[in-house]
Amino acid sequence: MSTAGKYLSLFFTNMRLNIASAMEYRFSFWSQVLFMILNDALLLFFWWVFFANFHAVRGWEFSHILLLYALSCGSYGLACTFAGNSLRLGEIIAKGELDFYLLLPVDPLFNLLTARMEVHALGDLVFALILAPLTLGWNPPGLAMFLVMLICGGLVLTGFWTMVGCLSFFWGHNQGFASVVQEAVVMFAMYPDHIFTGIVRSLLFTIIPAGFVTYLPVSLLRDFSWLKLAVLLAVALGFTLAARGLFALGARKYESGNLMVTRL
Amino acid sequence: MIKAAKYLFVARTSLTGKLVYFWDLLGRSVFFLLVLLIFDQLWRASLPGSSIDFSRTQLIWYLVMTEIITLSTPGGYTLGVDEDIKSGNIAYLLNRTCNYPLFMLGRYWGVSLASMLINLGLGCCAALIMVGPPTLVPASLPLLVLTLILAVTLKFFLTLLISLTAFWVEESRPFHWIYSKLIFTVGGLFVPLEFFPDWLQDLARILPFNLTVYAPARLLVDWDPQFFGAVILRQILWLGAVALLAQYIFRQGVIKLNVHGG
Amino acid sequence: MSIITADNLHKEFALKLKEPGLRGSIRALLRPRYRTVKAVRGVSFAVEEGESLAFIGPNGAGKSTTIKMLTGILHPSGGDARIMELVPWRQRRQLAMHIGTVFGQKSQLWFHLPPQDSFDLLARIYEVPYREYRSRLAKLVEIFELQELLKSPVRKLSLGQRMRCEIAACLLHNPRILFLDEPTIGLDVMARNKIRQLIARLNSLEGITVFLTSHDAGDIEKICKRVMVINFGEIILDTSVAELKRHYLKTKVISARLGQPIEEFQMPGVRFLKHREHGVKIQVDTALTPVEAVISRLMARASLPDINIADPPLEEIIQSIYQKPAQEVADHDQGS
Repeated sequence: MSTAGKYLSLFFTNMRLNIASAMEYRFSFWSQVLFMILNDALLLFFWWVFFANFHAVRGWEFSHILLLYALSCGSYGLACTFAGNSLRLGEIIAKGELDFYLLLPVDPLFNLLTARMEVHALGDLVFALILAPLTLGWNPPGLAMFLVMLICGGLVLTGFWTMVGCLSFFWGHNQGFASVVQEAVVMFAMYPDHIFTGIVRSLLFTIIPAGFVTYLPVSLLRDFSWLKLAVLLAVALGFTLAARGLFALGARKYESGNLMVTRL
Repeated sequence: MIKAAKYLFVARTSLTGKLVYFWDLLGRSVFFLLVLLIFDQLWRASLPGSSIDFSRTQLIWYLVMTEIITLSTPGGYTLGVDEDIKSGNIAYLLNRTCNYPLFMLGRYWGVSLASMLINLGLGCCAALIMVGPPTLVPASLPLLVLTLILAVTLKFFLTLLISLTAFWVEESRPFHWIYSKLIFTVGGLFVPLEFFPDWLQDLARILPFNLTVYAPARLLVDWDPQFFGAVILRQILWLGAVALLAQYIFRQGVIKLNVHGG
Repeated sequence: MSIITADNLHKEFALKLKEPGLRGSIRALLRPRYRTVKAVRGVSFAVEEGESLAFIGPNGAGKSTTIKMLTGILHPSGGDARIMELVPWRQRRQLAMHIGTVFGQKSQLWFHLPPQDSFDLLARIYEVPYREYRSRLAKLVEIFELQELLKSPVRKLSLGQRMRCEIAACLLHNPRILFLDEPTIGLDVMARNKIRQLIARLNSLEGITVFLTSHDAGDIEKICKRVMVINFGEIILDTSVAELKRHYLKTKVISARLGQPIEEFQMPGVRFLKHREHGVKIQVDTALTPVEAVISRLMARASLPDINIADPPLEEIIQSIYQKPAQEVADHDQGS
């Protein structure tokens, strides 16, 4: 079997087991998914109220917010559904659960990330997929582009979260810190970028890469350009490779290092 | 007196226990600052030239108050009632000579108080830098604290009511989500109810959720003795009703537990 | 050619020192202080194919660090090791194809799913061809009596049943070496015996090399032929289990019921552990006094309705080895 085939098969097996695990608790599964859809819809409440009072602000209207939400919820959903362990990586390293993945004859990072699915994230994903045609209209090329944006956003998030988790290799684990940084991206990704200026804005395109999860994709979907698409694809690839690189570096330190990982 | 002391002690133990989670606390605080930062930017971008009756100063201080209440108090599931029930641990806790709901109220306050003080300090600093001081009526401060206490206690009993559903349903988390979203929407977490369309405003004022965040925050940024009177009255009435209901449902749950086993 | 060799393996850790409390946390963050801990200091040994080896030592002696180096999870600070001529930490994935690893305290099975699902996944990960996997699984199901367990979620299995599945999971890819880290921890007597029998059977029938750590003397006695004791990061004893017993079993314990009460008597190397009106328990150092001498002395004084002569449990022997400083054990080993 080719390497790609092997990893594809591993991916699908992990997903099948994830779904089967979740289905062991059927009520929990459906309620988590449905309530998350409702949850996301209710988050739009604020913007509905907001635009009832302000109408358009610097060219942004409620429909743009819908697009922003479709992208942020979708990317988050995608990342947490198919790489559900990316938010838990730091904990996995600190608890010594990494040993188990290192003992298997497959790429530890790939196996580890896909070995868990956050069930509620499926709700986010479904919400995004419902919202997209509502805001973009029935427009197949646009929707296809939307899916590409979701995948890029999902890769950026997974890559970023993984890198944050990898810090555990070097500094020891700190769940509080990791959660804040990991959540901050998602939070910023849920507000229109025009309200941010100066330093905050530049941070959002660098160390808190919310800009690549929603701002750039929104602008791309509203006003297509090949350059933006190229940038986005490059960034998504960049985050993926950087995460792999940092993990490899950390794993080498973990294996050869003489620093005991802090066990909390 | 001895009884009250017992629950106060629960509160104190929880408070010191909470100090251990220094980073967790700090994490929430950073989150708090991020929210303030985002909204400061949002109001800067949108308020000028609009017909809103609130100033940026008022809206930021409003947010400081609502977020102190929501971020400092344990979210529905983290309080642990649901897990106590599901794990059967509650049977053990029942053996203690404690009223479980009151025991939990003690813990709730204990867990919240340290966070509240820290968030209060942080929130005030951030808001002072962003928008400057609010226009306060000094004499209103003790009364504000009173409605704040009632608000947090009411929030606890509403949370407890939802946690108690764990006696009957397999997964109570979704209900907590709904509840937190009710606080978010008709509770007026980000903006005062005055922003709502009239029909929704009327509905929101009938429900108890606005009494937990909107009411104290609104009083902070725009003191009005008459409104205060109405708030305090409704807070007390709702608190009484919800607390009694929670006790009743708790008993029913325990009976169910005894009949069916843990 | 030995299947496992370790040559002067070393592992040092820098342990971050942290004073308790918030102030300590902050100080540790600003100016971290480290202390070097030598977890493993110069471990050398060789294991032949088909051996069954118990690797024992008190907590913190360096057992799991050694196992982690042998399985490739950790790089050593110094020294060398070969497993089937592979360097574990450099050829980890290649090595993984040939070894199976069971950690008694950790599970590799999906908790909410039947073991069958985890087996399917592992077969894919280890690239076992489907047909081979089916026949291998059928065989393991038979040996481990898994038929009933295969379809029920892992969370509903007892600990013993789960451990049987864990070990079976490690054997799907037909490994030649099995590393077991405390496989019987937390099991009841029945389950423990079953696991021991299974591992011993794998070793003797299938010829799988077994490398086992345990705190349970029974595991060592029932499964292993060879025992290696590590303490303070050094191997302080490497011998066969039979030899261990012979050399360290210099004492016997006589328990006897008495027809009449007797007086305590003095003999070299004899100690009364228990002395009651109707019974005694006497420890005899057989190097100083033969057991028969003690028994005839007893019989001369009272009738003995019941008598039992036993070895002290292996547990006690091991305990006494742990307590000795390294040098003394080595001397003893050479001297005898």
